Amino acid sequence: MLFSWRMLVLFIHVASVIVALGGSLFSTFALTPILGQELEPGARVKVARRVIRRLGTIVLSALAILIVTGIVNVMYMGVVTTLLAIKLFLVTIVIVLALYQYGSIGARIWRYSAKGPDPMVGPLQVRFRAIGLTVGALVLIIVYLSLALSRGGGPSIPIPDLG
Amino acid sequence: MAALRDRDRRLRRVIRWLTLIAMATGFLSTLIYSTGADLAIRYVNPELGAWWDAHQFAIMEVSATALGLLIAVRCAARLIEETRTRRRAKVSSLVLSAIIALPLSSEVASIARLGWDGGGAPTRNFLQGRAGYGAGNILDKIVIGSVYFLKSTALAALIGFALYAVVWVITMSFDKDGATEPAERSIP
Repeated sequence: MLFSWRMLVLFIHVASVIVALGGSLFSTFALTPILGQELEPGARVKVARRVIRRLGTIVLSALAILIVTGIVNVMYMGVVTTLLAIKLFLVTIVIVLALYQYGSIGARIWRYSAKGPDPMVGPLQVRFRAIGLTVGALVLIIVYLSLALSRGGGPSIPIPDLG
Repeated sequence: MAALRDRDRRLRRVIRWLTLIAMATGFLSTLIYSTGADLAIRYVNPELGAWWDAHQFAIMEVSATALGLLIAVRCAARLIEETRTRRRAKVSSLVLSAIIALPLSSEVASIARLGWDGGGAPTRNFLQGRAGYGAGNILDKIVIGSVYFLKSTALAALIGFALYAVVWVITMSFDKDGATEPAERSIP
């Protein structure tokens, strides 16, 4: 059926993944490097701290929506497999890491950079980026597991031997 | 600042007590439900036994849900750096958790029922082989109940993390620190 509650929930679920992952990837690989090249340190810090704040709101909200719609999806599916259990475990790690990234490291960057560039901010930004990349990688694994869950019913495709 | 830290400590103590109560209630209700010990309560006090029999599953589920939500709030709050925002988010999450715990428990219960329930023949056979038929059967029921309780707690914890994340985001957006920068709000 094209329009149903299940489809709507699934749509919101997928849209949340796109928003959370897309936002993080854009910030890590497009925005931050360009800010570093194009702006003076003062302006760069000012923009970066606002981006962190705004991105935190978007990513954490998207992750929360992802969890709620995910739980509703499980109810629609009516079965919990080992794969799904692994996925739920990874989702828990992702939300914990994201909360730490924005709630702890992001908040410290926000505080230290309040009066312009600060030597404390550099290492924090490196850690912020590392955790962001870990979260991104975990989300990609979760997406793969989701595909395996939704498309795994059919026969498995053997990996060709390249040796 | 010291007063704020004091209030935070008091709140932490309250949450710790609530967690312990949820844990104790959950442990007792799961044990009584699994072993069928409500018969003993009925023997001592028939009215209380009847009431317990009618509500024991709900008590077990609400305890598991409350425990999961409380664990999530406690863990998530540790990840937040700023004391004032953390405290506000914690209080709001607790209030919201108290509101949603009851309706959420029935949903969590229905999801926890899916999949492995610890009652598979291998587990029962193993327990009966180790402890004998009678004791093995009782142990098997305790395992089923415990797995069910843990699954409910884990699911509630996941929802608790999501709840705390949303509440923290909302709290942060109302934070005075963020509001002092008007340009932040002018970004479309």
